[in-house]
Amino acid sequence: MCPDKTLDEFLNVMSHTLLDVSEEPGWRVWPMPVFHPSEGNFYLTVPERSFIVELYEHIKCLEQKGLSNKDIAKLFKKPSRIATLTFLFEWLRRSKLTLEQRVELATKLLDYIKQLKREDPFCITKKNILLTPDEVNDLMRTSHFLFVKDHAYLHQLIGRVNAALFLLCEIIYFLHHAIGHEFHGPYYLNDGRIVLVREYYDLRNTDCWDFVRNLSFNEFTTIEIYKGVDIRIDFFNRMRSSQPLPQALIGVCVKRGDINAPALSSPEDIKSVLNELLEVLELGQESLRVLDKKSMIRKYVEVHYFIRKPLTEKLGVEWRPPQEVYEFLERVAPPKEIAETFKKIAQMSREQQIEIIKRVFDPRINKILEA
Amino acid sequence: MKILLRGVGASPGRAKGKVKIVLKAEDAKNMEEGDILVAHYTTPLLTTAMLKARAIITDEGGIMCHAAIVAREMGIPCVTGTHKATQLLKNGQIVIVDGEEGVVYVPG
Repeated sequence: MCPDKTLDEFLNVMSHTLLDVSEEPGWRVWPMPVFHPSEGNFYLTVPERSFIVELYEHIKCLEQKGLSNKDIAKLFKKPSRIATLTFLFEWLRRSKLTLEQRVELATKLLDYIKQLKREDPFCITKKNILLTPDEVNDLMRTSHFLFVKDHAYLHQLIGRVNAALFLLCEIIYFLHHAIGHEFHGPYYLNDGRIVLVREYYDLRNTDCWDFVRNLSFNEFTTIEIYKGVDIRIDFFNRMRSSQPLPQALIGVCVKRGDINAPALSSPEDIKSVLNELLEVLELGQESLRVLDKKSMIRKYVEVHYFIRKPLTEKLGVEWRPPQEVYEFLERVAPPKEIAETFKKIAQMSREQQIEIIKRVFDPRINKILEA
Repeated sequence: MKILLRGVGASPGRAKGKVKIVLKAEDAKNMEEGDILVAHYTTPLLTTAMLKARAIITDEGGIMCHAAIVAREMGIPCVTGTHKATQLLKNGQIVIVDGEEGVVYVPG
């Protein structure tokens, strides 16, 4: 993997992806005002600097134990979870790492993403391909599908289940909901049908939330078959489609577990999962409602640290933020200039904005305004 | 049918139902299955209200805002960016939401 080529390719994708989202009306109020992107990002500034150094050290320790890049990538579980960590590239230059170490860490994280994908690691083609054609064919052959033609309300039911799971990921992981899901595909079958796989995981995250304690599953998978719809997935696992997906659904295989779990055999089984999700979401919403802003920010930072848990477990060290991070969160507030800077940048041309974003996330540059 | 509001058609489809205005999380408690959710914008605090809704109308947002994403997942109509839905509509009022055209009608 050539560091410069990889980083350039990544920065191009990062800048365009972020800009595309920021041009979508309504993004500034999504998903909740307390986490306006500029503000949410600020609260990760100091924690990120220690997080970065510790992450670098953890990776080095794992390598000394003999783990390869692929082994470490698998510890993170899914590529889009690693992609959320690329936001920390913004803080690399302010960490205690040397220039070489910064570039090494960034390149390694990008390589982990590559290790978990079959092609196009940065979703340049708006596809997120994790399975080979043979694996997709096997999946189609061995999975038990339910079809809309046999069950009139199946599309509505699946729509609600997917919406409920997405909203659950959002309550658990806030702005970084992709920490809890990996949508992959679209995979094209020879007969023109399209397959989309949605894997939700770490849903029973009792490390961060108590309300999920009684959820009867930690993972959930749907393998969905469509026809005549354009599905696009970006680097941060955000999905867009040319029409609402329930309207184009042909069939679905639903698993209360990972991709290898047995399939649910009837719409009634799926309905009972939905009912369970609605009960859990009611509790989740209440857990969120009672948090004041400070507590919510602490939680936001904690779920970010949760990403490193599988690595720290392997090393026998703590995954939660150190005490100084909580102290930092107690005493600081985002400076007003942040919102002003965002406004100024928003008024620039797209080309200028792309250049700024590239510089912000480029670990090879010491100062954003340099040159 | 009389046009009551115009906004952005953020998730296609047509639905008729009773308006439920939700300005804060507590308002969502007596939202009934099949109501039309009307809010400034949606957040995870309105999760269960969104899942009960037959359609969603918001004051703010556009084609890819939070309400639109959830509505498209569910396959229900959604009109966003109306600027004044929470002011113009009344709780219990029957409306028709056209998520293709981005229009809210009064039936009749």
